[in-house]
Amino acid sequence: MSGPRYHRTREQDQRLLAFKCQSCGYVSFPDEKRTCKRCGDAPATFEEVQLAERGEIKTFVVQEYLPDDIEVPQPLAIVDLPQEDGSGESARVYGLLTETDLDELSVGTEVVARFCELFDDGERPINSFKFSAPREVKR
Amino acid sequence: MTDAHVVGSGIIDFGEKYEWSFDDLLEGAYLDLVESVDHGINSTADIDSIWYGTLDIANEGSSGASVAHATGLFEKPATQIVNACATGSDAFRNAVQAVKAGDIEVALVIGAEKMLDSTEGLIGGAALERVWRGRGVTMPAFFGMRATRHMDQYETTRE
Repeated sequence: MSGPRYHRTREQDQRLLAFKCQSCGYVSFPDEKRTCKRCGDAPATFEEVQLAERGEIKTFVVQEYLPDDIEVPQPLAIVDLPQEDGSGESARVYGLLTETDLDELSVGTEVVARFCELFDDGERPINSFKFSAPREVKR
Repeated sequence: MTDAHVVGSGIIDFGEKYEWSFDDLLEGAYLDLVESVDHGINSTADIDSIWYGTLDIANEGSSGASVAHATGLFEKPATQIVNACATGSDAFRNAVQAVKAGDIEVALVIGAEKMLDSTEGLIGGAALERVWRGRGVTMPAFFGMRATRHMDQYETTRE
């Protein structure tokens, strides 16, 4: 079954843990690596960093045709998530969008991470994050 | 190093080819190619090696032998290249390298993909049970996101 796959990335999937290259500052998510995708350092040293739950859409697309059991339209975005302590670089993350008004979607839109069920692997729900525009604060 | 040259090329019309099998696609492209070669070709005698690109979404052509069955070019070494969107260009690149190296004189580079026999085609990948870059994500969406970003950054338009 698919159990080990989810166990491997549990910290990334459930609390947005990322990994910062000590040579160049690249923030890897969700891959916990020993080589750096950007500077090529091998072996590279990575330090755990916590990502914020609020980021910015760098680009997006709205998918209209997907397998029958997946809801459409399904927007997908690349989101830059800063480190929670505000230091260093953001991580660039592929994320599904949810509860988002498609007309208001644009490059630069601020989104927040929402913890939810992504799918069911047959035995149990697989939970992680989707992103959505922040709900309006009533004044 | 020997120079490598393209001496002929063939293609079929793309479309909803429900009447064509996977082999028919390869055969059609091959026949169009044979006809186009500048000074003619005796393909069974002249072609030394084959590079064949396909992801084989339809599960009908999973090895180089598929090309032999589709074209009659048996007894030629045939290598299948599977490299996502770069499959075709990578098959071409490998053939060019072999010609340049002087290992062979004439290469056939061919490829096919049957997109619609399976109702899901390329979007089937979205059913992957993977958390990031998996569930609900299709290959075309990656290009869609590139297009969105390009339009935003450079003010390009749809057409």
